[in-house]
Amino acid sequence: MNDLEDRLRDAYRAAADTIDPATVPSPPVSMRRRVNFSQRMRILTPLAAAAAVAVVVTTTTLAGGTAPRHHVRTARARPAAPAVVLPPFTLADVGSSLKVYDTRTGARVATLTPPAGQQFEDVASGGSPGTYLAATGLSASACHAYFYQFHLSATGQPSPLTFLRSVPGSQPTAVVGIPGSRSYAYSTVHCQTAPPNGGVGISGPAGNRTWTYPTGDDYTFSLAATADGRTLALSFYVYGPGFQDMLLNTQSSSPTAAGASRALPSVPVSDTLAISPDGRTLYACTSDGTTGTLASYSTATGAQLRVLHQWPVTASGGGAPGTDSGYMSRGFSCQVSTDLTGRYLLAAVSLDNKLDHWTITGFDLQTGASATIPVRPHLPYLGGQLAW
Amino acid sequence: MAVKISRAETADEVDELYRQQAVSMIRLALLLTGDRATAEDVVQDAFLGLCRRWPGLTDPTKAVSYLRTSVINGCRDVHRARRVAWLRRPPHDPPVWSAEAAAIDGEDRREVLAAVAGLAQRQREVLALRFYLDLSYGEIAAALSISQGTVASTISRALAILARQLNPQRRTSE
Repeated sequence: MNDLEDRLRDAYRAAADTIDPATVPSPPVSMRRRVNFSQRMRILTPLAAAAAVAVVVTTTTLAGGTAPRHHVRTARARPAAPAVVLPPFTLADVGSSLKVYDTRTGARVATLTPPAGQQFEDVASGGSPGTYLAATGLSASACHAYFYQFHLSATGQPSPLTFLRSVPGSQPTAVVGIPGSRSYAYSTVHCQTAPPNGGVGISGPAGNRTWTYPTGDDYTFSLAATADGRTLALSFYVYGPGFQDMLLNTQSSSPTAAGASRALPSVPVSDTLAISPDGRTLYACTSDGTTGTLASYSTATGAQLRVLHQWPVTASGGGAPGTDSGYMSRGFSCQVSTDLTGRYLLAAVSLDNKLDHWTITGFDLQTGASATIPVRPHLPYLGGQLAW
Repeated sequence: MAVKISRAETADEVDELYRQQAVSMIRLALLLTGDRATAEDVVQDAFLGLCRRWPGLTDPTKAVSYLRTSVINGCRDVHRARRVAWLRRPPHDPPVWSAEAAAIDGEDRREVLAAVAGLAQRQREVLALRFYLDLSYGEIAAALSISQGTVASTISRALAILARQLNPQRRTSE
């Protein structure tokens, strides 16, 4: 035992003692209810198995189109859904590495590790087929943002990371490629509170400039880009109004991200946003506490165009849309992104309290078909952590 | 000894475990997250997770270990989910060791805890388990799924960093 260890123990004890046992809340009501639910599920599981078979068969049919036709008729009365052809590989940023999965089988085919001392913060499709972008930060307490590019081979094997840029004193928050070009957009925030506080940047033939966050709290959680690179969709926190969906005009002369952007208050605040190549349609998620919904919205009016998918929400919690707690809604979290072409949309949702249990669904936006992707990555935080 | 838990006892046993462990777990979460509201959320989530797994639990003596690991993982999720925001915008109360909170008497204690807060995540976890919960290296290794050697080296490096920052000679010279 030495002086430093004594000081540590003393400080820990003092901090812990600020919790008065008399003020600790009672067990959550849902705890006892959940125990009973679990017990019921043990009894009901054999009964539920038959229904589960139908779901699996349907999913198999959607994913591979190989199930016998009589199974399809058993599963659903309506005609069989068309087979879905999705991008062959699904990339997941799990922080310590990027994992490459076979989209059809869910098998992991490769793992890409970050440079020493760094951890992945974001991954996104790049500007050309097979090209991807990654953002990393320092895994220690110091701050430094790095952006890289890499390629996937036809068998899903990643190339080494190619350095694009770094931003000292900042954390990366998002990166995305501009389709059809070597340009990309990125976002960083400073780790100090003094403004300006980082911003959104674009680099390459589509432009080379930045829009700053002039106040202490602004930052972007996700970026998506139109095919011409003229519009960036931002899931954005703005000092004052709070969380907002924004469209940033990259031709704007405004020096600030907020000044160059148009808010879409009628589109629900979502963990991430996706945008169609022509910039007319946004894809966002929302939850009313019992159902999570992925829908498309008009960027012109903010009106909802179509519901793509709905999931039952199993956990309580979360506040109203547009609020801090609503954004980080405990019952439903959703990440959406599109592939390079904008035809395929990837949606990862967490339906319970745990941010590391995700269900991934792939959509062919041209045909309207969808399929559950048998990949269950551990995604420990929010943001754009999946890419096609 | 492995004991299969009967369904009839489950709810009462989880309630009893909550009464026994909630304070300790909230205090641990407080040390890792810095604010009480978040700590309580993390611990309640950990108990809810335990409830989901309880029917399949064969060894009740492992429930506390399971809870401890769940709380640590929950605290990690909090840090990751708020990764950037956490650096600049306290989502709940100021950290318990901050001057704004002033919940802890003594500048030295706040200085120590603020220095700990600047360490890497694993270092913070290992120090809290070692010097708050007084767990052995083996217990810490099990809780964090790392080797005992890693526990030892992590503690050693963390203490070296703190020693440089805090100048342990200061108190004795005052």
